[in-house]
Amino acid sequence: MNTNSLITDISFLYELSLSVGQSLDRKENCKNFLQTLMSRKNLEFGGVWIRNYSIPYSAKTTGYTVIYSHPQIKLEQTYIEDSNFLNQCFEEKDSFSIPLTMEAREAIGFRKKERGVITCYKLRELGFVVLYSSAQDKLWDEIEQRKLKNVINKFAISIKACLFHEKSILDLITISKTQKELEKAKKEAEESNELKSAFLSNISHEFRTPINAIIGFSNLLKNQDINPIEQKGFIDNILNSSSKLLKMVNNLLYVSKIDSNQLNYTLKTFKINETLRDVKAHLNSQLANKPQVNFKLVFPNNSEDVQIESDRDKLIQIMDSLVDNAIKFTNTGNIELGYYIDDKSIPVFYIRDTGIGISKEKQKHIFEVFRQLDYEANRKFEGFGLGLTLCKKLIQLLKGEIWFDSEESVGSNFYFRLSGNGRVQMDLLNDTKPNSNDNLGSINDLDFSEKNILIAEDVRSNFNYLNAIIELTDASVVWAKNGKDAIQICRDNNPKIDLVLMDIRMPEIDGMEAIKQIKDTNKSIPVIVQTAYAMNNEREECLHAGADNFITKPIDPRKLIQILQEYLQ
Amino acid sequence: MYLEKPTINSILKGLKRLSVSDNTQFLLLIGENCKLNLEELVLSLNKAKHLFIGGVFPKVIYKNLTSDTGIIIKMINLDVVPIYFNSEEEFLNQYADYHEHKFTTAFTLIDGLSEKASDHLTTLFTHLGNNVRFFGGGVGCLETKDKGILLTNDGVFNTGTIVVFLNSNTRMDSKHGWQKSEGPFIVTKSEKNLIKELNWENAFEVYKKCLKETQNINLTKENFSTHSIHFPFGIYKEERDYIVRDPFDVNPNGHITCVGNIPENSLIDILAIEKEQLESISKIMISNCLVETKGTPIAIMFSCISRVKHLQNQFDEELEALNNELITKFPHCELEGALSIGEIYSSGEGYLELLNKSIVLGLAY
Repeated sequence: MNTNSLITDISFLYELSLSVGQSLDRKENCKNFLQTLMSRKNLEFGGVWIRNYSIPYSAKTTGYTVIYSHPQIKLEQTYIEDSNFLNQCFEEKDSFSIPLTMEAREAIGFRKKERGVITCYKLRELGFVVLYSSAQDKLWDEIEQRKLKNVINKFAISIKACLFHEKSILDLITISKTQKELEKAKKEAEESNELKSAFLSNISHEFRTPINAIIGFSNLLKNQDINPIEQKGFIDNILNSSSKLLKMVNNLLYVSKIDSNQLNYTLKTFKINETLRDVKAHLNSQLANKPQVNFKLVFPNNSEDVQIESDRDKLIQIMDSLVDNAIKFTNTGNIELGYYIDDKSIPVFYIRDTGIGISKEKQKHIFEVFRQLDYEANRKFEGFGLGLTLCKKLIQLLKGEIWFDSEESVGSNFYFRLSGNGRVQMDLLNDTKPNSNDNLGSINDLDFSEKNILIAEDVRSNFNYLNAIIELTDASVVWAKNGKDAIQICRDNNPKIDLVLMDIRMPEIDGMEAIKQIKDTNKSIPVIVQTAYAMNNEREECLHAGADNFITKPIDPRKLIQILQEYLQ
Repeated sequence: MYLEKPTINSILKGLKRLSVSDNTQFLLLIGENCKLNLEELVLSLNKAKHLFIGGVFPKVIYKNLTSDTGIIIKMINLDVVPIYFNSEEEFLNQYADYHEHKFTTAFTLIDGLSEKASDHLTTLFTHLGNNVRFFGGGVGCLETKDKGILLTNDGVFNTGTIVVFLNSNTRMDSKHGWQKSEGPFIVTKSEKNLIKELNWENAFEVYKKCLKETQNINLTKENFSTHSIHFPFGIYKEERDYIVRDPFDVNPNGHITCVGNIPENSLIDILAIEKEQLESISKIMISNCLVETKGTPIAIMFSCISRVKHLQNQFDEELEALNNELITKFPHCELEGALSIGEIYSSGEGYLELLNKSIVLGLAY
């Protein structure tokens, strides 16, 4: 070998060595090395195959994948299986140069039509390099192969460094991802803990309130001196509080039962409108406390006999809960409970309110257990945040779905449908025959908007209740908090009073005296006594004093409406 | 067809004479001093519904003559629409439609002065490999920069590459005749087509010292291109000619700009040419491109502009020898082409690289 060719070889190896490891990116590293090699040796292809188990995060564990090839079009596949052919070729040697036979083409995934020569070098335990020339006579002899061995070894180490680097980066990404997930889980757990604590503190307050009332009124009942009327009042209080308590316990049990798949449902066919009216009836006492809230039932036309096959009790429970929320979060404005029939003949129930609404941020959490929008210490609304969770779970149990839209300070609309078993019997929608038996069905048809009704009542909640019923007739209500005011309002008769609902026990001047004085001034004003004292002689006394009719507390709305119809129409 | 000092009208008339009908494709090789408004030319050709590609070269070749004010119009048979690209992504987007086509030759016009020229060739080789033969030349203007140098039906481009795929039977050869004069030198620092250091010293200083010692030339930055044209660099390749890199400019930092990339750490020699070498080139090239046929092939050649500058009168002799040799074999064949900035050639074997100071000759049968 003469000096010139030696210098040429050394300079080539120098150039090739310096092209190794210029980048920790495996593709870039392979490109720098192979393109230098191919250009200098005038080769038409160079590629690097790496064992899959050496490639970080590779899904495959056997065979090889090409991590770099130039030009790419020479290969038919970038993944190859372990082959006897390659094992035999590399047996006891680190390189070989052979004609590109069919077997060789298949072993490395080369295009079938290619002809020429390949020279392959083992990249230590990582894989191998293939160099290709289309010239049939370009087989590399032992010396020629040996010249490149050291630099190929160096290249193998650089590839190992690239793969290690890549693995480190992927590990870091995975660790960082896991860390983020852990942090998220921790945050959720903490939040859930906070919610649980808030829930527990909330629930203990909510439980304690009715229990206190029960204990308190029970103690009062021990007193021998109390009169029967007071006794009844105490018992009513105890019953109310017990029913409230029972509702809370039931709700909790429901959630727990649903979560453990122990809650079943019973399907039966029932009328929707009737059911919705029952829902409203349940909520009357609550509505009575919200005089500024107008509650409406809205039914589709000719829907009186529309039936649905579902679990009636659970449907009532769902609507109770949703309307309960609407009332709770609406101080003034309207609440509507109703339904419409969607294009798949399924009734879609809705509860609309003009309440405080739900902020965008809180909307995604409202169905989560233990959430109440105001669960902080200064919460304004009673309840412990199970209502919506329970609704959603019950609706899911009935194979339905619930959704909502809401805007803060504008209001919320909740919708749900009970699909599958909950399909409406559509043919009934076409039945136009009115059902005259249902008296309350006609409340919405009453129009006493021209009438003024005076309610003489010293207890606000009682006033609210009466007011809520009367509002359904669109009549105007005037409130007198005692007998004296009631007499004065009737005397002034501005606005003209068309009917008086009179309580008996009131401060200043009691109901009995007030009836007398009102009737003295204006005999034509109908005065209806409404009282909790339903003893027979009292009724006689009232009628004697001039009252036109008598209604006992708790007041049945239907009965009140009947009386109003009787005296105002 | 050759037209001296063409106008758009004379080109359109010329096309008529060539019986170029609607939808016939043709190639325009334009001398850089042709007073043609290329945008208007494209508009007129589009209006006349001609399909074409073209490039502006320092000079065009017609038979044994060269001219920087003339235009060569050559009819070509294209199977597919030409691809213009200035990035690998652009190439791939367009080439995706042609994957199923079979081609013999990729005729390529490339911005020879662009530092992206080598990358564009790598793009072509990456996606076409040695399945097609490459032939073409580097376009560009030596006297004015930022001028339109490539044209297609889509418009005029200041840089980039146009490639058209031919399916005809082609024979091609490339020669330059340059031999090692001094070396080796190691390119210890380079960036694409800029040599910054040779043998760990400033590139210009090393080159200057070498020319002083071997040729007794006092090289300065001012007279650099006058002398460098005669002493190009050669990148050593096993079993093939040197890849010549033409040093055409030196910057204030003493970095030498070449036509085509010079890889860092590569081994280069300074080359010179022997007269005897030149005399044999024409005969060898024509004989390598010969196919027994009764027809007349289409002949296109690209010869490096710096070769003309270096050889001067000898270049005319070389061109005449090539033309005569061609006419001897094919009496009706007209040798046409251009003096280019870099040449493109690959016979289907070996690695594709931008050539310098070379002649590439292609005969399409």
